Amino acid sequence: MTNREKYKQAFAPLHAKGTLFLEESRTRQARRKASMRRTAAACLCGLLILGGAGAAYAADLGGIQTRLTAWIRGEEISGIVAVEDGDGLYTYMWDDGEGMEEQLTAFGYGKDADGNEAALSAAEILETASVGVETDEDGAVWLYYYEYRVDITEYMTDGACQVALETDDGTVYFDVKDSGDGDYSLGASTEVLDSAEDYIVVEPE
Amino acid sequence: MKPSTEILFEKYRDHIFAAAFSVCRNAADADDVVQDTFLQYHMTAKDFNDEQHIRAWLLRVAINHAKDVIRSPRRRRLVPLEEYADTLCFETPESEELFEQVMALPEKYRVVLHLFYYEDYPVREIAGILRLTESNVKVRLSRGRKLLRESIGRYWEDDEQGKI
Repeated sequence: MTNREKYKQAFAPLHAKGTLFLEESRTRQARRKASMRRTAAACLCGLLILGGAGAAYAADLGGIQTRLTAWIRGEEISGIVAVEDGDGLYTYMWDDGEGMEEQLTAFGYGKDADGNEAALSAAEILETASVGVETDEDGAVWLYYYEYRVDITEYMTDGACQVALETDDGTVYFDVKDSGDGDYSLGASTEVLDSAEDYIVVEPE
Repeated sequence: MKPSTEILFEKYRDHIFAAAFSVCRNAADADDVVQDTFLQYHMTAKDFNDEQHIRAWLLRVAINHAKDVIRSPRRRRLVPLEEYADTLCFETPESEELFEQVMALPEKYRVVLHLFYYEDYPVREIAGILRLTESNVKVRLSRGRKLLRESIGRYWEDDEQGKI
């Protein structure tokens, strides 16, 4: 028996569920897109600036590629290559120290100045990864804003909190709300609509 | 060409599941990846050249989704790999050992090995699906094979020299 035959025999017991649930998958993806759209809307308010430049062509990876720099979970990543698959879907790759590897695949929509839904560019989608809220594997809730990362677990009350962070852009006010299923809605603004006193000033790590 | 989603699901669901599982190492996540992959196919307006084009596209989308899943802090890990493996009916003890040792490899080796040995793709096409260089694929294939030989010994024979 060849190695190929042995491999196929070893993986033969794996079977997918027998039913296709398009509506259920559509709902799950819509939730993800809604989460991204909320962040993207904040991105298009002019709060965030993403370093990015030029376009390059590399025959060994294929396609026209855009090279970008972004803050992802508080860490600056340069040399990110974005490749569009043709369906508005972008694949982002960067060198993890052992060669160029795919790290993120995303597509999304934001709101333009008139409130109309518009497809996001490669850079705009990547911006959504620069600002966000996530729960880590230990259950801690983290707020990311470019180079800043703040553990906001202790400020979350009834699944929500309002925090203010001093940044190089000035004070940024964040409204965080747990949407359930691990997603958070996030509002971010350099102007506060209500009272600034409602916001807890937090210190980055 | 764009065959119906239902027909493709019947034909490729186990392949997509196995590819996703080789990345996620979790059946619940892999099933979600299968559903999301076929939803993306259902919604795309892409015009495919032929069925091989579709198959490669499905695998590529599934592997990308699966990578996103394992990098997400919200990932659900309902059943440990060992418990899930105990529920599978392997033909021989050696098959079970090979399955477990492949799953113990780093993800970057698992996915390349899977596309080569399970999906029968040559290096050039694996490079296209994973958006890696051919030399990178060869290195990962070589290191993955070496690790398997070291972990399961003679059952994984050195029979691929020069066959990549």
